[in-house]
Amino acid sequence: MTALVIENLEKVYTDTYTGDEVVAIGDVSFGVEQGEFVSVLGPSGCGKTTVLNTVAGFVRPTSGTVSVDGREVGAPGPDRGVVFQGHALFPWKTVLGNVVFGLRMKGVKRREREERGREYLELVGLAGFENRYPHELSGGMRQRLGVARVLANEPAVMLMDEPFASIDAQTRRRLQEDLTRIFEERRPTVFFVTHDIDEAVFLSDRVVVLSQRPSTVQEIVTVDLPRPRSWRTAVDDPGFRETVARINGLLAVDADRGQESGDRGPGDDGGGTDAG
Amino acid sequence: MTHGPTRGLGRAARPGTAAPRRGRAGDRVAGLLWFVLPLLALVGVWAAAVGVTGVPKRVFPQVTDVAAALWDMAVSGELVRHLSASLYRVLTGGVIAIATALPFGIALGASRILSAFFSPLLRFSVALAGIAWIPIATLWLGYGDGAVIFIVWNAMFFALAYNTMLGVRSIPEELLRSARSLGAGPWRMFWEVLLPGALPSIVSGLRIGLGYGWRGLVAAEIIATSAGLGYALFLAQTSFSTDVIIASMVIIGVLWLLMDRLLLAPLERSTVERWGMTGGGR
Repeated sequence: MTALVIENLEKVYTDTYTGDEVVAIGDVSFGVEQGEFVSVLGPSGCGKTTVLNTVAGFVRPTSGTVSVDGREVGAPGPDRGVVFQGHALFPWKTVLGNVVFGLRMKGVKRREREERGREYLELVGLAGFENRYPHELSGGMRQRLGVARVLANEPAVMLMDEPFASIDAQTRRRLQEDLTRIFEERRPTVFFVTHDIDEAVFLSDRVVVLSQRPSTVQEIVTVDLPRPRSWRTAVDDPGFRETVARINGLLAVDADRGQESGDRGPGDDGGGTDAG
Repeated sequence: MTHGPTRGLGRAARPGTAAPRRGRAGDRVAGLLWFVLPLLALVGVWAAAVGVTGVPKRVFPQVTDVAAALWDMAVSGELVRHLSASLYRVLTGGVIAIATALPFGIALGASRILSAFFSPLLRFSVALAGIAWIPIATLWLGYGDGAVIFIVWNAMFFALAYNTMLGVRSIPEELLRSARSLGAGPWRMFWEVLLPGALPSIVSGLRIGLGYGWRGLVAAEIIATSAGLGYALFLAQTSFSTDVIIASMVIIGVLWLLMDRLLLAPLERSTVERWGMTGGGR
């Protein structure tokens, strides 16, 4: 079953300074199957975060539709949990308080939600930290808590917006392996935005490669890498290296094309609207 | 601002940092010392200055005169009468101010339209808040508790509402988004996200607002009542009792310090500091 369907998504911004219309998303369509891990990859400023924000309901599309479990979505909702780059944990809530937040909003009874909260903390390796506050955790632990907080809510799809981008390289590798293990164990549906090709290939079942702005789907690459996955085996896997090289090629060709076409306006390479 | 060194120590000892932790008791004693020492120094300078210059009591009293006046006030029951009248008014006005200003400030912070509309009005009102309202308050509410409570409320309201609004605006967009996508409705949003998220700013608003409220209280009591510390000040002036005037001023100042230390500082410690929301610790 298809958990998430994006159809002919288009987003046009009006630049606040110049008043020019900027087409952030040209025409994007793809689907994510239930229990599938799909990454959206593209050059910075290509509008991939805008796609995620539209799915989350933070941004209204200019045209096109987003459906989750067959229903068209509008405002943000618990069926689409988001893991943010800046973790976005509530500093005034303990680790347990953060992880059960969504369940409380749903009205799940205290005993049950705490039990489930602990289970998910265990899953991400944060058992024993229940009564700490987020500022007492390391960057990697905060991100894992962010994942647990979303998963505990059992969303139809988990949206992840470059969650490991601001974390040091070694920790990032470990977090990617943790995420893969959690995914293999629980099989949530994941929509993952990144600009890191290795990361996208390592984590995903399929990688949606977006073109430069105005973004369209350049190609959807299926990753044939057996699970369970680990970095030790992945780096030596010819299939992994080949897929990475192929996506690299796609992005390089696209970048050249972007340069040849020349005058696409001053805001073309800026990441500004990407965050919007 | 009144106890900078204490807070400095608190921050260094924040859990999660590598800095060595001082014992809690040790921290407390050091904090108390830093609190009392400057005040003792002030009393010392005062005693010496009056002693050396030999100014007459009707110009400025010696420390011992004021202590005697304080003792007399305590023994005669006047101290309790004035103190309880003032405390009742400032607490009632304060509670009403908190109950009204926080929801208003949060609404302003959450809605661009509301804040655009009310911001100029708020800025206009800040200049007039408190004392300037005394004449109209006495016309409306007569002389007595009602008028004074109104002044305290009025003096606190605008500073508190304004700071609350700024606090809500300072909550990172990602936090609001994550709360919404975890299913928080407007009511939960208010109590569990906007209110705690704005708390660092609300605490400074409370500190500023209570200061205004306290001043408004004293001024209103001078004019509008027959009890309270402001009234005691005023009464003493008519009989040239500088010792009672200074004694009342000391009480007012000490009460304010105690309120800051016993109400606001613990509130700050158990929330904002515990959550690591001070000094960009997020």
